Amino acid sequence: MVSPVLVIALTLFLAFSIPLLHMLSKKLPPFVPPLAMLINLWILITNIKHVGEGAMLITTAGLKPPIAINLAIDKFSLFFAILIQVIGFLLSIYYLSQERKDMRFYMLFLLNILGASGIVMTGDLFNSFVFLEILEISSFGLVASGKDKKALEGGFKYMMIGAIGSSLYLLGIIVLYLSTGTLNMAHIAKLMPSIPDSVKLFSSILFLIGIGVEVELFPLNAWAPDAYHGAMDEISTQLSSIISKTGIYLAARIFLTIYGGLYATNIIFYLAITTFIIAELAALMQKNVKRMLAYSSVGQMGLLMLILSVFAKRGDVFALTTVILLALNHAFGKGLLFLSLGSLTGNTRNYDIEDLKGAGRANPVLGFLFATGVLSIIGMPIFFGFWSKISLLISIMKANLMYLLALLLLVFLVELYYYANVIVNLFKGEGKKYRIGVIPVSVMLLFALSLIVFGLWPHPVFKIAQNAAASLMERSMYISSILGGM
Amino acid sequence: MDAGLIFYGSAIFLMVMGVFIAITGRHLIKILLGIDVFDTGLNLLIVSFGYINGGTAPIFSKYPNIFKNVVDPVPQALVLTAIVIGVAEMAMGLAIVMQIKEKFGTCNIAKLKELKW
Repeated sequence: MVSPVLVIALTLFLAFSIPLLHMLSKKLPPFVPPLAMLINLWILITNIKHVGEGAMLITTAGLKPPIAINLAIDKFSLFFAILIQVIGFLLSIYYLSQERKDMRFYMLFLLNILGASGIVMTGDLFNSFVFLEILEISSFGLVASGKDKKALEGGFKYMMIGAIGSSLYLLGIIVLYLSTGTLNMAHIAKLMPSIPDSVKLFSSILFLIGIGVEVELFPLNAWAPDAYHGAMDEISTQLSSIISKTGIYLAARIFLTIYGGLYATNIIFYLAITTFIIAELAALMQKNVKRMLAYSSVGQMGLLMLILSVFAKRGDVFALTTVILLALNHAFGKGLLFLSLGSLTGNTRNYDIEDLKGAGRANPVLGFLFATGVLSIIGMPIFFGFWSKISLLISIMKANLMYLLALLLLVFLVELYYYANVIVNLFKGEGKKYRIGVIPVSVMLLFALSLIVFGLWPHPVFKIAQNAAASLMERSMYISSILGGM
Repeated sequence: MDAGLIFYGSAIFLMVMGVFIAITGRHLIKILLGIDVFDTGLNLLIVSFGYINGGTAPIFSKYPNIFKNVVDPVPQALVLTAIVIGVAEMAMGLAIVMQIKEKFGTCNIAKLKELKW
């Protein structure tokens, strides 16, 4: 067995060995991220069979929790950790096709992956804050790394909100520490009944602000459209497929495992529903395709938080499975959309819908890839999105929430309309043909293939997602597997 | 007046002032400074949570009565980490501001208007 601590240690080591390798040869740095991602994947996959019921405990510093910092990996963490590494691997292959003079970009990329994998694996609250900050600071850098005006503006706006949000997250941690005297997630979860309600409410609101920045919850999402729009296309993929998914993980872990059900459910519900509706309507009015995708991303994250807030209290495993399926579909689908949009515009960074006319017809492969992403996101059969949408509708119908069902169907129609509009524009008229390398196309094909394969054989994915959701709901199991018989 | 109250009061004052500067500031550096002041206030707040008036440093010793009135070491350890993180954040922010000044020729946030819909 290889300890998962190495995922963190090795990524960190490789990230900071990049300057040394750069001194040896200027050609080496681009090959470090794929290598790191492969090693991480291997480590995590060898650990799959060791993660049984409850969480796998990995101690550090030779002390048992709750004293020392520990990693706690259950099936839910493992699912997200592997998702992060897979997307990271695909992206790092994509970066091989690009000429970059700056090796620091690869360091930022690796640190970003490190932060995300740290958040999903840690069992310590303060540790999760540190990883959250690593994730955020490196993503400010990544967004701004386009170094043109748009990228810098997007990066700065993200930084303004992110910095304050994560500080409030820290304050939430301290409030919990003061009332329990521990920072271990499982221990806090165990002591949760003894905390007064007012403290719970106050700290959960602080957590909500910190996480709300990551999951792009209204009103903390002002940065999101600008950062998505300003960042390079691969970075937008990273924002939507890795960073916001980490936010969803953190929300589920903190509110479900630690608090044992959402606190301030109503607040989250109304914020999420506002996010969902406003973002989808804003997407409808966009003339700029990338901004439209950004708003659609924000809307999807709002939808995930909405389902989480509705079903968390009911302990509905099926609904949580839906959250995971939707997150998976969004990670692959939206990632594919951002990547293929970049190639369809010929990397001119001009995303106006008028200028995209006929681009899909002139570049049939790219047009097909973009269409695959769109079809999966709106939930057409054959594609994976179909199954996630179907299970979403089933879980809402089972809970008998007809008003929510009506609202969702209405918003999905809006979504259908603006996506159809883009597709029609892509295949109408004459466009410019762009040369595109083998590596980017094959990476996008992998994204598209996984959507189709998951769509044709949904059972294994569904089973895995169900196991992950079930282990998230097994709160007492999580606590006892970390703390032992305490 | 209670020493703890002074700490809490000034920490919260710093935090509010920091957010106020960050929101109302027009100059990018001023916004960064606001965020930094906010962070400092937060750090002071966390340290003062662990503070005991007249307490001693939490060091293990063989004399048991020294061990009686110690301050809580955990918030101090957390604050050390938070300070380092704050420095990294400021460094990243200032680097972005430098690039913005180069490309836009201004540090006024109202002039950053590339991303509008």
